[in-house]
Amino acid sequence: MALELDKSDQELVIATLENRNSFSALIQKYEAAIRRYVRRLGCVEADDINDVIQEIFIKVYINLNDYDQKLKFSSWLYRIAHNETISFFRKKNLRVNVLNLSDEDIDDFFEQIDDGKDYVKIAYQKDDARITRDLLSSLNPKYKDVLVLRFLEEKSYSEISEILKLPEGTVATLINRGKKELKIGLEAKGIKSI
Amino acid sequence: MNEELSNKIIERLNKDSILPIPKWRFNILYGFFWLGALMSVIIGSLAFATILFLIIDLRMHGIFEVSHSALEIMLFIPYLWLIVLCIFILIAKISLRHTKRGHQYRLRYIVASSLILSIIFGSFLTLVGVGKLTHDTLNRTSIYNYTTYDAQDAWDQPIVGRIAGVVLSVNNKNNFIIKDFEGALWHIQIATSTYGHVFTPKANSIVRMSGIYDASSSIFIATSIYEWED
Repeated sequence: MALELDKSDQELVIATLENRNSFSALIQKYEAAIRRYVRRLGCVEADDINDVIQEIFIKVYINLNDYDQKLKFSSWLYRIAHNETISFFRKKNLRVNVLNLSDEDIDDFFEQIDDGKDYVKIAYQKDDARITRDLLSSLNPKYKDVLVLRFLEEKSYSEISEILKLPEGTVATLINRGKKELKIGLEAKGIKSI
Repeated sequence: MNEELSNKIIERLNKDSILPIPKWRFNILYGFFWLGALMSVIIGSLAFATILFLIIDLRMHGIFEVSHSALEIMLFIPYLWLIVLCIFILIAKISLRHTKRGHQYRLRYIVASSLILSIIFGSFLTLVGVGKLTHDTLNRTSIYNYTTYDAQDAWDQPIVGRIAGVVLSVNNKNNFIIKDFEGALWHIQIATSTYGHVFTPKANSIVRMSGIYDASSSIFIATSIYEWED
């Protein structure tokens, strides 16, 4: 297994197609990241998270021949994870729009959002995680999805484009609009910029 | 590193005999989407070729000069083909979005490219006569004939002062009989005061005429006569 973990994702995909036991290496490599992403999207119960993750990896295995080796495997995996999590919420009649973010996530979010790389800058005191969490959850899903991927999962624009199947230009527009919405919301709640 | 989950998943794959979907099935699926995009350009080009043919046809037969109002000209717009063009641009968009890299193209670029390709290929198809062929072929069906307005339809309006058809017989220099494109016979009398061109009617020639229909005598009084250009 140690040898397999040294392989690239593309090599692991090829190895898995030849021998399904090699799939373990891909699962172990990405389990933590996908678990965190599923939780952030709003999955609260540990059993639910485990069920969703299992379904995600089963779906990945079934569709492994659809993976385009020119793209990052993680982007393709995140796309399946995103779609599976949303359909899990729908199946269970759960609210799709409530993010499950820890205080640490909110701290990370502000560290990333203030990196100066994006057009709209937000630099706020990190003194009210709950308000920010509620505001993020209440954003339009199209903004929320890109903000979570950009500032919590730390994905590049091109990765987000692959995950959400959107043009890169649209991703950039959604990120900036989402940040603007968030900024307006935070200011309306009395959280002032530093 | 959590091996428990990976073991569980591998166990389930083994137990349920789950296998990856073969690559050829994905290739067929994406092939269908590319075919959809290709078809939409082909049909879009045919639609544009026919639109262009209809406009040229109406223009060539002088319909825009004799129309009474902008509202009447709006009747001549080939709405059916415009709808077909829009539908196939939409199909191109949906098909491309479902291909592996199709999501990278913005809607406006897909619409613009599809439209530009349809215009380029459509113009070529009009030049080689495919627009006319498509129109003439479909014009034999009643639904198409009812919804699409061509030059023959536009000149088959004696009530509003336009008529066209084959000259059957010339009685004298001012009176002759025509058979219109629908097969009805009309008695034509050349007006005493004419304006525009007056083509001298000959048997078997095809003519289009502006004038007034006199319902009391069932005679069409022509104030101008042109030869029908093919």
